[in-house]
Amino acid sequence: MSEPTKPNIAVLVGGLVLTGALVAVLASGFGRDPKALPSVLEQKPAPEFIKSDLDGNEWRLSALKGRWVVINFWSTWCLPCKSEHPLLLSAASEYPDVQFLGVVFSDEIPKVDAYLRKNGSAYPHLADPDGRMAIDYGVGGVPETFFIGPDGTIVKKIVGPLDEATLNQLLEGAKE
Amino acid sequence: MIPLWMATAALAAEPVGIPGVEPGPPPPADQVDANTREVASGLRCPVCQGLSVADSSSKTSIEMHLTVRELVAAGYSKEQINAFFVSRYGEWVLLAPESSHWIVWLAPLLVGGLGIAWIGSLVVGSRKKSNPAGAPVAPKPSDDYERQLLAEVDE
Repeated sequence: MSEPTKPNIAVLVGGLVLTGALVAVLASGFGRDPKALPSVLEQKPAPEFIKSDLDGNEWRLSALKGRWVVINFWSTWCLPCKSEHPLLLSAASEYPDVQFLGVVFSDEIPKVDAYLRKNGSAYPHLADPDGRMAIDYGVGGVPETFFIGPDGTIVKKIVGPLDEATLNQLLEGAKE
Repeated sequence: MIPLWMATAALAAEPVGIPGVEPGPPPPADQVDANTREVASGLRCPVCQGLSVADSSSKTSIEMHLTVRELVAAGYSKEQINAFFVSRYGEWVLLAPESSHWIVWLAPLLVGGLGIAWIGSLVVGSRKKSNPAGAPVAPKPSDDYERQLLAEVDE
Protein backbone atom coordinates (compact mmCIF):
# COMPACT_ATOMS: atom_id res chain seq x y z
CA MET A 1 0.00 0.00 0.00
CA SER A 2 1.45 3.35 -1.00
CA GLU A 3 1.84 6.24 1.50
CA PRO A 4 -0.68 9.06 1.22
CA THR A 5 0.86 12.05 -0.60
CA LYS A 6 1.45 15.15 1.55
CA PRO A 7 -0.21 18.36 0.36
CA ASN A 8 2.15 20.92 -1.11
CA ILE A 9 1.58 23.86 1.28
CA ALA A 10 2.93 26.49 -1.14
CA VAL A 11 0.61 25.34 -3.95
CA LEU A 12 -2.33 25.11 -1.55
CA VAL A 13 -1.80 28.63 -0.18
CA GLY A 14 -1.20 30.07 -3.67
CA GLY A 15 -4.38 28.44 -4.99
CA LEU A 16 -6.41 29.69 -2.04
CA VAL A 17 -5.08 33.26 -2.45
CA LEU A 18 -5.86 33.29 -6.18
CA THR A 19 -9.31 31.77 -5.70
CA GLY A 20 -10.06 34.15 -2.84
CA ALA A 21 -9.06 37.16 -4.94
CA LEU A 22 -11.22 35.98 -7.85
CA VAL A 23 -14.23 35.37 -5.60
CA ALA A 24 -13.76 38.81 -3.97
CA VAL A 25 -13.73 40.53 -7.39
CA LEU A 26 -16.85 38.66 -8.54
CA ALA A 27 -18.63 39.25 -5.21
CA SER A 28 -17.95 42.99 -5.40
CA GLY A 29 -19.79 43.06 -8.75
CA PHE A 30 -22.97 41.46 -7.41
CA GLY A 31 -25.67 43.92 -6.49
CA ARG A 32 -24.24 46.60 -8.75
CA ASP A 33 -26.01 47.78 -11.87
CA PRO A 34 -23.53 46.96 -14.64
CA LYS A 35 -24.86 49.86 -16.72
CA ALA A 36 -24.57 52.41 -13.90
CA LEU A 37 -21.18 53.64 -14.97
CA PRO A 38 -20.14 57.11 -13.84
CA SER A 39 -20.57 59.50 -16.74
CA VAL A 40 -17.36 60.87 -18.21
CA LEU A 41 -19.27 64.07 -18.95
CA GLU A 42 -19.87 65.02 -15.31
CA GLN A 43 -17.95 68.13 -14.25
CA LYS A 44 -17.22 68.88 -17.91
CA PRO A 45 -18.78 71.50 -20.20
CA ALA A 46 -22.09 70.33 -21.60
CA PRO A 47 -21.96 69.77 -25.37
CA GLU A 48 -23.49 72.65 -27.31
CA PHE A 49 -26.63 71.94 -29.31
CA ILE A 50 -28.91 73.78 -31.70
CA LYS A 51 -32.24 72.00 -31.88
CA SER A 52 -35.84 72.77 -32.76
CA ASP A 53 -38.63 72.00 -30.34
CA LEU A 54 -41.93 70.48 -31.43
CA ASP A 55 -43.36 73.96 -32.06
CA GLY A 56 -40.48 74.88 -34.37
CA ASN A 57 -38.64 77.19 -31.93
CA GLU A 58 -34.86 76.96 -32.01
CA TRP A 59 -32.97 76.20 -28.79
CA ARG A 60 -29.24 76.42 -28.20
CA LEU A 61 -27.49 75.63 -24.93
CA SER A 62 -25.15 78.64 -25.05
CA ALA A 63 -28.20 80.94 -24.99
CA LEU A 64 -29.19 79.46 -21.62
CA LYS A 65 -25.90 80.25 -19.86
CA GLY A 66 -26.48 81.67 -16.38
CA ARG A 67 -29.44 79.39 -15.69
CA TRP A 68 -29.77 75.87 -14.42
CA VAL A 69 -30.81 73.55 -17.24
CA VAL A 70 -32.33 70.09 -16.85
CA ILE A 71 -32.25 67.97 -20.02
CA ASN A 72 -34.36 64.82 -19.94
CA PHE A 73 -33.97 62.25 -22.75
CA TRP A 74 -37.17 60.25 -23.02
CA SER A 75 -39.56 58.43 -25.32
CA THR A 76 -43.18 57.31 -25.30
CA TRP A 77 -42.24 53.60 -25.47
CA CYS A 78 -40.23 53.85 -22.24
CA LEU A 79 -42.25 52.98 -19.11
CA PRO A 80 -39.84 54.58 -16.58
CA CYS A 81 -40.05 57.79 -18.64
CA LYS A 82 -43.81 57.76 -18.21
CA SER A 83 -43.48 57.17 -14.48
CA GLU A 84 -41.19 60.19 -14.03
CA HIS A 85 -43.24 62.47 -16.28
CA PRO A 86 -45.54 63.81 -13.48
CA LEU A 87 -42.48 64.57 -11.31
CA LEU A 88 -40.85 66.58 -14.11
CA LEU A 89 -44.09 68.45 -14.74
CA SER A 90 -44.41 69.50 -11.10
CA ALA A 91 -40.67 70.31 -10.85
CA ALA A 92 -40.93 72.60 -13.87
CA SER A 93 -43.55 74.67 -12.06
CA GLU A 94 -41.77 74.47 -8.70
CA TYR A 95 -38.48 75.71 -10.18
CA PRO A 96 -39.49 78.42 -12.67
CA ASP A 97 -35.90 79.70 -12.91
CA VAL A 98 -34.68 76.32 -14.12
CA GLN A 99 -35.00 75.61 -17.84
CA PHE A 100 -36.37 72.10 -18.32
CA LEU A 101 -35.95 70.55 -21.77
CA GLY A 102 -37.13 67.19 -22.99
CA VAL A 103 -35.30 65.46 -25.84
CA VAL A 104 -37.22 62.91 -27.87
CA PHE A 105 -35.11 59.74 -28.10
CA SER A 106 -35.74 57.20 -30.90
CA ASP A 107 -39.41 57.99 -31.21
CA GLU A 108 -41.95 59.35 -33.67
CA ILE A 109 -43.00 62.96 -33.27
CA PRO A 110 -46.75 62.32 -33.80
CA LYS A 111 -46.69 59.76 -30.96
CA VAL A 112 -44.82 62.22 -28.73
CA ASP A 113 -47.26 64.97 -29.63
CA ALA A 114 -50.25 62.78 -28.78
CA TYR A 115 -48.68 61.69 -25.49
CA LEU A 116 -47.97 65.27 -24.40
CA ARG A 117 -51.48 66.41 -25.33
CA LYS A 118 -52.93 63.66 -23.18
CA ASN A 119 -50.52 63.79 -20.22
CA GLY A 120 -49.55 67.45 -20.17
CA SER A 121 -46.43 69.37 -21.04
CA ALA A 122 -44.80 72.12 -19.01
CA TYR A 123 -41.58 72.67 -20.97
CA PRO A 124 -40.25 72.39 -24.55
CA HIS A 125 -39.37 69.06 -26.11
CA LEU A 126 -36.59 68.96 -28.70
CA ALA A 127 -36.62 66.73 -31.76
CA ASP A 128 -33.45 64.67 -32.27
CA PRO A 129 -34.32 62.58 -35.33
CA ASP A 130 -30.74 61.66 -36.21
CA GLY A 131 -29.82 60.95 -32.58
CA ARG A 132 -26.85 63.32 -32.81
CA MET A 133 -27.67 65.12 -29.56
CA ALA A 134 -28.11 61.78 -27.75
CA ILE A 135 -24.69 60.65 -29.00
CA ASP A 136 -23.16 64.00 -28.01
CA TYR A 137 -24.47 63.45 -24.48
CA GLY A 138 -23.41 59.79 -24.38
CA VAL A 139 -26.97 58.55 -23.99
CA GLY A 140 -27.32 54.78 -24.19
CA GLY A 141 -30.96 54.42 -23.17
CA VAL A 142 -33.84 56.30 -21.64
CA PRO A 143 -34.58 57.91 -19.35
CA GLU A 144 -31.36 59.82 -18.78
CA THR A 145 -31.35 63.26 -17.21
CA PHE A 146 -28.58 65.85 -17.16
CA PHE A 147 -28.34 68.67 -14.62
CA ILE A 148 -26.36 71.54 -16.08
CA GLY A 149 -25.18 74.36 -13.81
CA PRO A 150 -25.34 78.07 -14.66
CA ASP A 151 -21.72 77.94 -15.93
CA GLY A 152 -22.63 75.30 -18.50
CA THR A 153 -21.00 72.41 -16.64
CA ILE A 154 -22.76 69.05 -16.33
CA VAL A 155 -23.20 68.70 -12.57
CA LYS A 156 -24.88 65.31 -12.61
CA LYS A 157 -26.18 62.66 -14.98
CA ILE A 158 -28.95 60.41 -13.70
CA VAL A 159 -29.51 57.12 -15.50
CA GLY A 160 -33.00 55.75 -14.96
CA PRO A 161 -36.11 57.39 -13.57
CA LEU A 162 -35.73 60.40 -11.32
CA ASP A 163 -37.00 60.49 -7.77
CA GLU A 164 -38.23 63.58 -6.01
CA ALA A 165 -35.53 63.65 -3.33
CA THR A 166 -32.68 63.48 -5.86
CA LEU A 167 -34.24 66.11 -8.07
CA ASN A 168 -34.82 68.52 -5.17
CA GLN A 169 -31.33 67.93 -3.81
CA LEU A 170 -29.73 68.65 -7.17
CA LEU A 171 -31.81 71.77 -7.78
CA GLU A 172 -31.42 73.15 -4.25
CA GLY A 173 -28.83 75.61 -5.54
CA ALA A 174 -31.20 76.85 -8.24
CA LYS A 175 -33.53 78.37 -5.64
CA GLU A 176 -30.84 80.55 -4.08
CA MET B 1 -46.22 71.95 -34.47
CA ILE B 2 -43.73 71.36 -37.31
CA PRO B 3 -43.98 68.18 -39.34
CA LEU B 4 -41.33 65.54 -38.78
CA TRP B 5 -39.92 65.83 -42.30
CA MET B 6 -39.17 69.52 -41.71
CA ALA B 7 -37.33 68.83 -38.49
CA THR B 8 -35.40 66.01 -40.20
CA ALA B 9 -34.51 68.20 -43.17
CA ALA B 10 -33.34 71.02 -40.90
CA LEU B 11 -31.17 68.65 -38.91
CA ALA B 12 -29.79 66.94 -42.00
CA ALA B 13 -28.08 70.22 -42.84
CA GLU B 14 -26.34 70.26 -39.43
CA PRO B 15 -22.56 70.27 -40.01
CA VAL B 16 -20.76 67.09 -39.00
CA GLY B 17 -17.65 67.41 -36.96
CA ILE B 18 -15.90 66.94 -33.65
CA PRO B 19 -15.61 70.25 -31.77
CA GLY B 20 -12.01 71.39 -31.48
CA VAL B 21 -10.60 68.55 -33.61
CA GLU B 22 -9.25 69.19 -37.09
CA PRO B 23 -9.96 66.43 -39.63
CA GLY B 24 -7.40 65.23 -42.13
CA PRO B 25 -7.97 64.98 -45.86
CA PRO B 26 -11.14 62.99 -46.69
CA PRO B 27 -10.49 59.41 -47.82
CA PRO B 28 -11.32 58.28 -51.37
CA ALA B 29 -15.06 57.59 -51.73
CA ASP B 30 -14.51 53.85 -52.29
CA GLN B 31 -12.70 53.54 -48.93
CA VAL B 32 -15.35 55.21 -46.78
CA ASP B 33 -17.45 52.06 -46.26
CA ALA B 34 -14.45 49.90 -45.36
CA ASN B 35 -13.06 52.53 -42.96
CA THR B 36 -16.51 52.98 -41.40
CA ARG B 37 -16.82 49.23 -40.89
CA GLU B 38 -13.41 49.11 -39.23
CA VAL B 39 -14.20 51.92 -36.77
CA ALA B 40 -17.79 50.78 -36.05
CA SER B 41 -16.58 47.21 -35.37
CA GLY B 42 -14.53 48.49 -32.45
CA LEU B 43 -17.34 50.46 -30.82
CA ARG B 44 -19.75 48.84 -28.36
CA CYS B 45 -23.48 49.14 -28.95
CA PRO B 46 -24.72 50.91 -25.79
CA VAL B 47 -28.08 49.11 -25.71
CA CYS B 48 -26.95 45.57 -26.62
CA GLN B 49 -25.12 42.70 -24.93
CA GLY B 50 -21.59 42.48 -26.30
CA LEU B 51 -22.40 43.57 -29.85
CA SER B 52 -20.48 46.12 -31.83
CA VAL B 53 -22.10 49.13 -33.45
CA ALA B 54 -21.35 47.50 -36.83
CA ASP B 55 -23.16 44.27 -35.91
CA SER B 56 -26.18 45.67 -34.07
CA SER B 57 -29.43 46.64 -35.74
CA SER B 58 -30.69 48.75 -32.83
CA LYS B 59 -31.68 52.30 -33.66
CA THR B 60 -29.01 53.74 -31.37
CA SER B 61 -26.33 51.70 -33.13
CA ILE B 62 -27.62 52.69 -36.55
CA GLU B 63 -27.38 56.36 -35.53
CA MET B 64 -23.88 55.83 -34.15
CA HIS B 65 -22.94 53.99 -37.35
CA LEU B 66 -24.19 56.88 -39.47
CA THR B 67 -22.28 59.34 -37.30
CA VAL B 68 -19.11 57.26 -37.72
CA ARG B 69 -19.65 57.20 -41.49
CA GLU B 70 -20.08 60.97 -41.66
CA LEU B 71 -16.97 61.52 -39.55
CA VAL B 72 -14.93 59.09 -41.66
CA ALA B 73 -16.11 60.78 -44.86
CA ALA B 74 -15.18 64.17 -43.37
CA GLY B 75 -11.61 62.99 -42.92
CA TYR B 76 -11.47 62.13 -39.21
CA SER B 77 -9.13 59.27 -38.32
CA LYS B 78 -10.06 56.12 -36.38
CA GLU B 79 -8.18 57.46 -33.34
CA GLN B 80 -10.02 60.80 -33.47
CA ILE B 81 -13.42 59.10 -33.81
CA ASN B 82 -12.65 56.65 -30.99
CA ALA B 83 -11.53 59.56 -28.79
CA PHE B 84 -14.80 61.38 -29.55
CA PHE B 85 -16.94 58.40 -28.50
CA VAL B 86 -14.77 57.80 -25.41
CA SER B 87 -15.24 61.45 -24.42
CA ARG B 88 -19.02 60.91 -24.55
CA TYR B 89 -19.52 57.34 -23.29
CA GLY B 90 -16.25 56.56 -21.49
CA GLU B 91 -13.75 53.84 -22.36
CA TRP B 92 -16.52 51.32 -21.92
CA VAL B 93 -17.64 52.14 -25.46
CA LEU B 94 -14.47 50.57 -26.89
CA LEU B 95 -14.74 46.81 -27.37
CA ALA B 96 -10.96 46.43 -27.01
CA PRO B 97 -9.16 48.30 -24.23
CA GLU B 98 -6.76 51.01 -25.31
CA SER B 99 -3.13 49.99 -25.78
CA SER B 100 -2.08 52.38 -22.99
CA HIS B 101 -3.64 49.89 -20.55
CA TRP B 102 -0.75 47.47 -21.09
CA ILE B 103 -1.62 45.50 -17.94
CA VAL B 104 -4.94 44.40 -19.48
CA TRP B 105 -3.12 43.05 -22.52
CA LEU B 106 -0.19 41.52 -20.64
CA ALA B 107 -2.02 39.98 -17.66
CA PRO B 108 -3.60 37.06 -19.59
CA LEU B 109 -0.26 36.21 -21.22
CA LEU B 110 1.53 36.47 -17.89
CA VAL B 111 -0.99 34.30 -16.04
CA GLY B 112 -1.03 31.77 -18.92
CA GLY B 113 2.77 31.63 -18.94
CA LEU B 114 2.92 31.15 -15.17
CA GLY B 115 0.33 28.36 -15.40
CA ILE B 116 2.25 26.51 -18.11
CA ALA B 117 5.51 26.91 -16.14
CA TRP B 118 3.84 25.58 -13.00
CA ILE B 119 2.37 22.52 -14.76
CA GLY B 120 5.75 21.89 -16.44
CA SER B 121 7.55 22.02 -13.09
CA LEU B 122 5.04 19.56 -11.60
CA VAL B 123 5.57 17.09 -14.46
CA VAL B 124 9.37 17.34 -14.30
CA GLY B 125 9.31 17.09 -10.48
CA SER B 126 7.18 13.95 -10.47
CA ARG B 127 9.48 12.27 -13.07
CA LYS B 128 12.59 13.08 -11.05
CA LYS B 129 10.97 11.78 -7.87
CA SER B 130 10.14 8.40 -9.41
CA ASN B 131 13.55 8.06 -11.13
CA PRO B 132 16.11 10.39 -9.53
CA ALA B 133 19.12 9.06 -11.49
CA GLY B 134 17.34 9.10 -14.78
CA ALA B 135 18.59 5.54 -15.49
CA PRO B 136 16.54 3.06 -17.49
CA VAL B 137 14.21 1.19 -15.19
CA ALA B 138 14.33 -2.60 -15.18
CA PRO B 139 10.95 -4.25 -15.45
CA LYS B 140 9.64 -5.67 -12.19
CA PRO B 141 8.53 -9.32 -12.30
CA SER B 142 4.85 -9.72 -11.65
CA ASP B 143 4.82 -13.42 -10.69
CA ASP B 144 7.15 -16.39 -9.95
CA TYR B 145 7.31 -17.54 -13.57
CA GLU B 146 8.38 -14.11 -14.77
CA ARG B 147 10.94 -13.83 -11.94
CA GLN B 148 12.46 -17.12 -12.94
CA LEU B 149 12.48 -16.12 -16.60
CA LEU B 150 14.27 -12.84 -15.85
CA ALA B 151 16.84 -14.63 -13.66
CA GLU B 152 17.64 -17.04 -16.49
CA VAL B 153 18.00 -14.19 -18.95
CA ASP B 154 20.41 -12.39 -16.58
CA GLU B 155 22.57 -15.49 -16.33
